[in-house]
Amino acid sequence: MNLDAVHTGLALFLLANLLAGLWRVLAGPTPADRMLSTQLFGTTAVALLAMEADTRGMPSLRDVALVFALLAAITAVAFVRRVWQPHGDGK
Amino acid sequence: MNALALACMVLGALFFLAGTVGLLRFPDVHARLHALTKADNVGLGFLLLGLALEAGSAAVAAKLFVTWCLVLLASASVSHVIARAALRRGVEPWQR
Amino acid sequence: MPAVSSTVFLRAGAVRAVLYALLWGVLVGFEPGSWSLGVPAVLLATWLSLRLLPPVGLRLLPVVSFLGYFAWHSLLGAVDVARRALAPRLRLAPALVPFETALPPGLPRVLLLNSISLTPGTLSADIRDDTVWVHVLDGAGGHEAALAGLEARLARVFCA
Repeated sequence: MNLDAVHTGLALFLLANLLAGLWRVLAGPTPADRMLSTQLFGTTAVALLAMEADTRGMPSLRDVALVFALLAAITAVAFVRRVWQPHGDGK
Repeated sequence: MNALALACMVLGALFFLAGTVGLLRFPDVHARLHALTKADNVGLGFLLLGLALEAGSAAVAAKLFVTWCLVLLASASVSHVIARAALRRGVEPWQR
Repeated sequence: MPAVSSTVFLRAGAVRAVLYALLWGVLVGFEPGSWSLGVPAVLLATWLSLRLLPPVGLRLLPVVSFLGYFAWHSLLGAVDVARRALAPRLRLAPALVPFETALPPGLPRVLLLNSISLTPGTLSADIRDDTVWVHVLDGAGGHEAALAGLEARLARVFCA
């Protein structure tokens, strides 16, 4: 079996997964439900980047994956602390 | 291609699928958090393990492992923060 | 902050410096040229970490045993939630249950909250005083024992 074909297949599968998860962003119903997508995007992006590092022979993409892991955490914490405080706007 | 590496990656992808299904099907934000934090983290773990086996390099494996630990730490903390914010904003857990 | 003797501080600093150096090596690669930036970065990180988190006494064997327990239970947790998600009929009976913790505030509690969220069927949703509010996927029971077991293992990790 061809390695690149397997990687591409898996990458497409994960992308489809990500797109399906986007439904939750649209449907909500609470802002917290929408924030769940950052969790999904965070882990899926790390997975895709780590695979692409192999497929494309670009090892630096592994560093990008690592930075994504850090950023996903910061995004969600920043959202909750600054935007969605109790008695804030937009429940 | 290494069969064990392939099996790990496919297993990882299946956990990702389960996480997304839970995200779409579960009744409230708290239950959805269960699905995402647990299934996606382990899915990513298997996927990265497969990639590490395939690469066959200790340096690559170590970097992927560090990345995975970061994701674990981040998503455990983030899920707590989201759950707490939801509770305190009055999003009551769904009950049967 | 409790007074810590300088030997404890030096020992903790040395251990952390070695760990940060390893991390630098993993991130950048163990190339001789990289250490002209690496050594200052490692020293800075060690200094910062000692300021932000004073030395904590950890016991090696319980740490290893906790990590093993944690890894196995994360896997069980993922399998559990995946089965629930993929089952034709959703079998969920969520509940919010209180759990009193005896662990001291700070690092031990943070670790408890995070590990609760990664073990089967439980998610730490809030903490008020000594009570952790745990969201469980199936309120039918069995969580008390699991949570107490987790807490006991975590307590052994820290020197008294």
